[in-house]
Amino acid sequence: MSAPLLDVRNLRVEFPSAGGPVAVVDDVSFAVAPGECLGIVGESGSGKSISSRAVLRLVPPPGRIAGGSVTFDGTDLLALPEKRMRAVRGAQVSMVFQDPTASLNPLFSIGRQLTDVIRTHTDLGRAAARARAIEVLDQVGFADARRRLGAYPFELSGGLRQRVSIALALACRPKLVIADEPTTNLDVSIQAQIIDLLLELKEQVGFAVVFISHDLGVVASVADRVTIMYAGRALEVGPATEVLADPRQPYTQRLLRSAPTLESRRADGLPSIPGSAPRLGALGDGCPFAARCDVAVDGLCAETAPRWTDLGGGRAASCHLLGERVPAAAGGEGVTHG
Amino acid sequence: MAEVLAVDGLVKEFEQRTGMFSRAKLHAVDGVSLSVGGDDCVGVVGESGCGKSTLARMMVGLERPTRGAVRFEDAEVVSDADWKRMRRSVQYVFQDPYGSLPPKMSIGAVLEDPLKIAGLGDGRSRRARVAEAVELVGLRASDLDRYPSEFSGGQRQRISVARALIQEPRVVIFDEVTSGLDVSIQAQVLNLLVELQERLGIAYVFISHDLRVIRYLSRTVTVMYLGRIVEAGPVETVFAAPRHPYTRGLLRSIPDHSRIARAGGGAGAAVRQRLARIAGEPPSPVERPPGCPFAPRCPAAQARCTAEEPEEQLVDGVRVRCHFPGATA
Repeated sequence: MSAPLLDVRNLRVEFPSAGGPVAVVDDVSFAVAPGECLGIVGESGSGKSISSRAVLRLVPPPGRIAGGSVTFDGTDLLALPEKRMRAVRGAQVSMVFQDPTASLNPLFSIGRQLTDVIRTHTDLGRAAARARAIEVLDQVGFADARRRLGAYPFELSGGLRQRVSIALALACRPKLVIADEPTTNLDVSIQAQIIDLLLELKEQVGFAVVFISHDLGVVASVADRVTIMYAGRALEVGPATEVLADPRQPYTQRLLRSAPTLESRRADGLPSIPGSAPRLGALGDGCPFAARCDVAVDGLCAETAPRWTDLGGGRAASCHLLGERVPAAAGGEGVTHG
Repeated sequence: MAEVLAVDGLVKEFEQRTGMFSRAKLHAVDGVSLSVGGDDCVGVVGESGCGKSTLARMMVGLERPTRGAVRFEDAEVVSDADWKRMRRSVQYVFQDPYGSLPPKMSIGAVLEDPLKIAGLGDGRSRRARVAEAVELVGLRASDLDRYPSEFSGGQRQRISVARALIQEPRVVIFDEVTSGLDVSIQAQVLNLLVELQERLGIAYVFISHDLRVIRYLSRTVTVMYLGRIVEAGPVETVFAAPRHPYTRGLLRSIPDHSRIARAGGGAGAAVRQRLARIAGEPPSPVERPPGCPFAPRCPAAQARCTAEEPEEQLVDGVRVRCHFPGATA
């Protein structure tokens, strides 16, 4: 087993509320091996974005990390002084957001923004930083990158802007890129281009990716492994192709069935999940999906927290109905790269 | 299918400033013909800038066409009175249920408003109809006193649907109504739309960028590119054997988890779907390239494609606008 590049264990993120702190991420563990792509799938409120932001200690206030550990490349990120954390962000771990305008400054040319990032995090001089900027723009598919350095974000289409934000994320040769719904607002043909680009660069450059998405199809086409999240908890983990082909946790199964595919027919119906996601403050001790789960057992699922069941082959799921039970610690084991 | 609403050679031009003194014509919709009726469901698919929303806005009378005709119940819609009559029978549901529901009106008032404006019934009969409409979309009568902000995104979309249905339309146009919704909620809304259509026997025009949703809901699909229809036909035929290279490209660029499911889990074999790329981006609708508008991105383009604009032709019951309509999937 190779040591994970990123190892998140028992992460808990809380937001204050009138009735006391509410955990939006509760006991979530995941790990990413070097060069691997982990997909985190979930609906809104599942905690997928917040958990990934917690890795960089970028939980928006008043939220705070209330427990767990984040180990990156052997370093405990939660214990790092803020100054050293800044050297990690953008250099060793970078982010690509859904909205490329969030990471681009409209007032500066893309060349200026790239060289700024490069010079902040490396000791390259002006000319070398510019050369690196050209190189990375070229990598993300800008024809004639040298000439495009002077372009401003508003002059670019949405797809090209997302390419620039990927270039910004890659400029300092990070070991890990966290991509939070990077293709969600793009047209399908542009989405396919961006996914292809990310996969190609990952192979070429060798960085690892945490890819967050609500779109099962997108995750299926990028991720090596997936973590399925619901209401702030992780419910199932494993190799992407296996989890998507043969989901074991009832939520994963129902989520997959409710997503239309290119083969869905109206005559067959689309099995939906009744109800809506629970209010996080109102969650009891039991399985967060129990209230909507059609196989939930009375007096068990809603009352008692399910344990992680190791399903072998790097797969694990959290559900009372999965047969043999293993100690809770196996949750951590199940999600490390095996 | 008895035709209820049709558009014929519809054109919408917008003027766009290209400099301090210069203006250019932008052809948002450029010669589109399409008809809908009965309990038909026409899916319209295309990427941003293809003109699908402008087309929808003209079909409900929110936008008047520059050229071309709109026909409603076999008569051309010409006068303001015609448009007004049509607008009651052709309703529109927007993508954004946050922006389209007035925040300071209770749901009951939101639903009663169109009936009041149309001068239908007295207070008592209107309220009865409102109560019926909320139940139709799966909400409770007790929800009528609540305000839009008290509802989730999926519930708001149900309210928008109820508002569209309350005037008993013959056609409802849905513009990206499930785009912002979570997967499990999207399935609920899609099922509701299917159920309502079967119960009420009305026609749908369903606009979406998501081919998976179009595949599920529609009987016929219309693919638009740069203001034109490039392919239109029965959904089964078009999805099984797309004739237009753009449709083929779109279908191949949809990430689809079912392909992985079908390939089976096993030893985690490399069944990851390789997404096909359609190279480049759509050209500007202001500076339309000569010939076929898809030619600059088309993997099968030949000399003729950049020189001569293809006419629409009928191939096995499918309308295709391509010089070389291939039948390979």
